[in-house]
Amino acid sequence: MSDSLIGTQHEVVGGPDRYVTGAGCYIADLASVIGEATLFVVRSDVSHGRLVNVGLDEVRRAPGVIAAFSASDVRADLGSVPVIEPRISVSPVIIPFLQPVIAVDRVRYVGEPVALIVAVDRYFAEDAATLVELEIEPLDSVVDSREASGSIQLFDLDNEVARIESSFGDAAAVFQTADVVETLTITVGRHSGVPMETRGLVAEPGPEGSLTIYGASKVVHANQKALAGMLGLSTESIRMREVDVGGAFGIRGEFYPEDFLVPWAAKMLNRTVSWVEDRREHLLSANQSRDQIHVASIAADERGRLLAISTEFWIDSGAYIRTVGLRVADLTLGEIPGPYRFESYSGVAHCVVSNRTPTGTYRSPGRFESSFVRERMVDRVAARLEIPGDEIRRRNLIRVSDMPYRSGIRSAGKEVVLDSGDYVSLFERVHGRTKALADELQHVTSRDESEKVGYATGCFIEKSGLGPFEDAIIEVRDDGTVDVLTGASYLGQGLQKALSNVVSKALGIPVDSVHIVRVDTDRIDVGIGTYASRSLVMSGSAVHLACQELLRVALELAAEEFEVGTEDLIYDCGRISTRGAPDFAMSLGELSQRRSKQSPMGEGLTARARFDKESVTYGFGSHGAVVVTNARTGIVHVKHLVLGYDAGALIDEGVVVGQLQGGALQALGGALFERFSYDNVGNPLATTFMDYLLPTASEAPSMEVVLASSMPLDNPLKARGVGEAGIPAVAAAIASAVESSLACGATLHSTPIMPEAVWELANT
Amino acid sequence: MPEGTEHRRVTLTVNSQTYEVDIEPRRTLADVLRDQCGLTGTHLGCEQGVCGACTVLIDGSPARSCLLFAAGFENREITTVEGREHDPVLAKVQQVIIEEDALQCGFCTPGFVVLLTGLIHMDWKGDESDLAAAMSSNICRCTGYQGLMRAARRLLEPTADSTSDQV
Ligand code: FES
Ligand code: FES
Repeated sequence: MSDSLIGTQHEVVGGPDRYVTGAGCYIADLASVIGEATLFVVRSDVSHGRLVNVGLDEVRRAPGVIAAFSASDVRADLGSVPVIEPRISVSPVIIPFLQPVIAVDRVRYVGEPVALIVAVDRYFAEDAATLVELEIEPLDSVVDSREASGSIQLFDLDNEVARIESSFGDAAAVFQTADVVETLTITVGRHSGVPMETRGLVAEPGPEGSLTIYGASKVVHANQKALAGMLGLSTESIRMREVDVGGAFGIRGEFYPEDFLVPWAAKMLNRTVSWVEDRREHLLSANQSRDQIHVASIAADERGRLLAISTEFWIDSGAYIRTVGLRVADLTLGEIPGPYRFESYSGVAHCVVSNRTPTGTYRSPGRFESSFVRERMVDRVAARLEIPGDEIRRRNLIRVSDMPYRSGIRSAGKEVVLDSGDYVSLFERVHGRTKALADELQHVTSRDESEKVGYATGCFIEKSGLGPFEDAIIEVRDDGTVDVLTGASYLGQGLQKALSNVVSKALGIPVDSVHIVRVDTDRIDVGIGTYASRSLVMSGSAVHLACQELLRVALELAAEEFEVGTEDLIYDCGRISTRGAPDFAMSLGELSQRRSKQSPMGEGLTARARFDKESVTYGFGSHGAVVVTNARTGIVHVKHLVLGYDAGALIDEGVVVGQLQGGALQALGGALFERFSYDNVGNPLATTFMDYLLPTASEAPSMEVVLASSMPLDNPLKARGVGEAGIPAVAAAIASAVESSLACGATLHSTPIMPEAVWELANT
Repeated sequence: MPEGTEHRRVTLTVNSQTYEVDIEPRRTLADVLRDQCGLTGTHLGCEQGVCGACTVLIDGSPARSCLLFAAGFENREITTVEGREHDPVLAKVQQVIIEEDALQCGFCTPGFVVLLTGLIHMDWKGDESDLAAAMSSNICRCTGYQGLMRAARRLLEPTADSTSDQV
């Protein structure tokens, strides 16, 4: 049945014509087409409580219901209720805080799974859900991360999961003697990826206990292994397949409770089970992110030389530590000093749990937060010394002559080495352009007098191309077109276009002849996945190497065929010909046909390569914002964003621009609108798009992209990943631009920047 | 459908084709289009009436199919993103969306295609900020709207007005 579920055309990532005509195949479409049993997750509506009883008798008798399960059924089947293991940033301290796939005797956030209903469709499942006898004895909730060490505990342990430190130099001594020291408490609000497509899965049982899972993404092979472990199956007996993905942004594709529950139910019932969450469920249960409170200090001398920066911060992880462990805290710590020549730094992170939805990595994790904190502090120094912010930045950015620049700081377990790029010149370009756009806007005379123009530019360091490796397989079809497989996940980010370009260039064949095949663990057995802006660099490089390998194999085959040496062969645009004997020529397709006739398994011309790399590819960027602030209402309208990034070699400029612009608007959302708010007992208040405000076309500024192209040397494409580089300094630039519009010092200290805060600034 | 469920036979006209469906009165138009008619191009992004991914045309005007009950739309002309054969404007909008590189993941795309088609049918007029307001009916999470606004400008040619630079 597997192959009938997805039309073969959907194994290949589609072009735009598929999506504009509605012919895409997203997970809900697959679920709709197969019309099989639907799973509905009954969730806790209490933020903290003892789970006393989950009564499902009436549910099981309800019309349309096929089955209903609670934790006791999972335990009866497997002996225990599995917890979701961390995928990265593994540390023994987090073990007690991991999430069980279904609540056992305690619930810790609104939205936590407590029961499953499998019904003929969602309407009947939702009807039946009203019949669940759910008895939860409420407990007091932990809602303030800075008081998380108080008397209420989530796990009968201190709520502080870990305290992590990072430093270089002797910051304490510098703060003692510096000319200028500024301190500010800064809050980075809770927001997240919120892709337009909610999460979903289809699990289909096959022969001998095997399972095929559709709807996998991001880290497909890791999830395959995790699921196999939990179900007690061999990894090979689980086949994971990706379908079209409607946005991921770091949050889709992590292993969530449903990634166990849906396949488990399919296995229990021995029938295909699908699950598609609704928006409310998504906003309650998918990873949220950011949510940090920093107490930051900065030291400078009287000429504006930055000396030291420090922060002690609390990161609210929500109710459980999920698959990324403590990675966000770690990344934040590693990025606080950013692109400036600080002599010393000290950072302390407190990772705490609370009765809120668990968190994870959202596009540019740690960079949105650290850049907001750092750039705010730099602006504090500028305001205090009455030196323009751009001048302070210019004086303190790391210079080409300082490279390779090593402060000794580590991020994600690796030393940060800044080895390429002209930071100052890119900053000047971005800043100049931002200023010019602001000047233009100043000259519009018809403006209401309460509307004030302001502008500012912030800076950041962005990481990309995280290792350790990725594989690529190229298979030549009989018609000479090629299939390309890697462990990367196609999340709607344009990666397929970039990879097609790499292949097209390496093999000299048209882009249309390249089929980028969606991840299918049956076709590619290893992979790391798509996150940390790694896929262009990692999968792109692997594809590049696989193309070279393919050419090598093709030439050897042709040499055998024509009985000449490979040095007598010429490869050009998908054809191999013999020097001086033009009749002796063959296309890649013909070679592949020949090969498949000879080989025992019938495989055609194929090649496989792996790209390994230890280093992280760092790049510099700078974001400028031009805003109009209404002093009467406190409403901020961002008119322009200037997005500067040193992307290295450009594989596909359209994709780069699209990634930077799309990321920047998400950052703008986090800067001004998006917030997962909770009441004082942990009830989520943003459960619809009426409360969780996403930017629309009316809020979207014009966005210009300014690219630099210093070449990183750690990958053959000489590229940097761009998936997250639109995000880091946008919020910081907007905050500073608002202050510049009101000609006041650097006092905005929280995202989202609410109209009331701006109004206060304008009217005091 | 389980025994005893209230249901009725409803005839819908979608993209000039007739669909006879046996449905409960509570089924939304979006669900019926997707699950009964097999027209899965109409997407569901929120089912809360906000995101516009589910936009269809009812007698030429855009409507959010997640908020409507299918049973109320007999004898109305429904157009979905799949209807390019029946509505040449739809085909044109699709072409311009591709040319302006106005999509990434494509999930919001059907909603925007249908919205723009509806605006053209309604003979929409306005300036640049009205156009942004009209496009704010729908949400895109990937693109930052730059390509979508370019496409909208090309298709709808907003009137230049003295206040369009105003904020
Ligand atoms: S799905 Fe109908 S408006 Fe979002
Ligand atoms: S292209 Fe992904 S939501 Fe618009």
